[in-house]
Amino acid sequence: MSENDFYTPTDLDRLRMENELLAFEVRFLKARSGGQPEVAGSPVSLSRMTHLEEAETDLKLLLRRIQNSPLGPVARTNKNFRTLSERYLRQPDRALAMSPAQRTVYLEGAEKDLKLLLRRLGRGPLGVAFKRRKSFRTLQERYL
Amino acid sequence: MSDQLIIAGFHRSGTSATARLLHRAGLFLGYELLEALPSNPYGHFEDREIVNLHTRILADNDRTWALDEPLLPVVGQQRWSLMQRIIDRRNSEHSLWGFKDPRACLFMMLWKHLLPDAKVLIVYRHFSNSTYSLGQRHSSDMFLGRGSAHVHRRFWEEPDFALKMWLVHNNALLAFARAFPQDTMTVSLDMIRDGFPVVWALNRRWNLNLVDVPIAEAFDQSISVRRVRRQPVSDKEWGERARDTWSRLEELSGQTEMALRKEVPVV
Repeated sequence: MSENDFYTPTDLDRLRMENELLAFEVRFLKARSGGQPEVAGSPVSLSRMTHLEEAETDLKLLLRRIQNSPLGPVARTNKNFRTLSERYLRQPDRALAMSPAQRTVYLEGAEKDLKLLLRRLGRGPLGVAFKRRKSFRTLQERYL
Repeated sequence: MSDQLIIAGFHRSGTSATARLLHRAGLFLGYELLEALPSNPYGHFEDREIVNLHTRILADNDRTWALDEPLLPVVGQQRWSLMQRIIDRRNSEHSLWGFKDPRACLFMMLWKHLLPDAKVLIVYRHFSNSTYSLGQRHSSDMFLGRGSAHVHRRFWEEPDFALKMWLVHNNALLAFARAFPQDTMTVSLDMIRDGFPVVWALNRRWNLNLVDVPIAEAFDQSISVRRVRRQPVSDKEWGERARDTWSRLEELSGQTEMALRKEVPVV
């Protein structure tokens, strides 16, 4: 499409944008329901929720990467790794059905699990190899 | 003789945090800095005089900061004179000064015309995260009834609006970097977050005599938001363009890293 052509948003465009705005509104209202969380530093402030959601995403990505790497078969023999995979990768829609309070607890758990995993991966001989990777160092800096 | 360093980058790309870092390092950024807002809790580090000037030039051209198409600004004599006054005052009072304003991306050539020796630090961030952060800022402002509802609504009425804005600003920066490679240094927000010693690199390249400040002191890792899911786009062509611009920015920042790799201290 040329830049000079007229462009009328399709119904799908409108729906997508409306959904996007609604998602922001939900986050905004959730943050507000905590009573001026940005100011009072509530544990469920908008920035905290964003941070927790990012931790959950990073944890899932890390677990998937380990699973698909040559280390995957070894990792799967570890009970802790299987528990994390079960919790965060096999039930992707679990968090959607939760109440806001349950979701916060779930996301805080994800952040804790991510920190534990990063600490464990960073130790021992394998830790040296992990720390050579920029993405791993970024995660360590962000969460540890 | 004064040195000048302009910090240029699209909205929500980490320019405020970078400016904060350089401000601490001793870069004079203006006589009256804009106050902090919830969307920028540590402040914008934007000088009111410079922001007003840019806003007026945009208005002269019937545009606002929310620009989603390339602009070749027409600048009247009055504005040129004001720019010159701004420069003269700072040159006479500061051996090193600069400014930061996302609108500056659109006016780099004007400043370069008046300040031929000025150096420019380009800061960029992935379109997905910049546009998401912009959406979050304008949705919050809209729900709080802050600012112009008409401007806020554009983000959800015009498909790919924020993405087009990202493209216009970053393409203008790329054009500038191509024209003045010796006076430009390009870094990504991720690079700075990952410990790239930006102050040290600036000193090394241009002898600016900035005080080296630990990045962690000025960079709060927790305040910037990232998109959790993939970036939605209505017109795939804009997506392709954004990817292309992103690659070219990455290429430039790769050059910055390459040039300093052998000399970068352990941080």
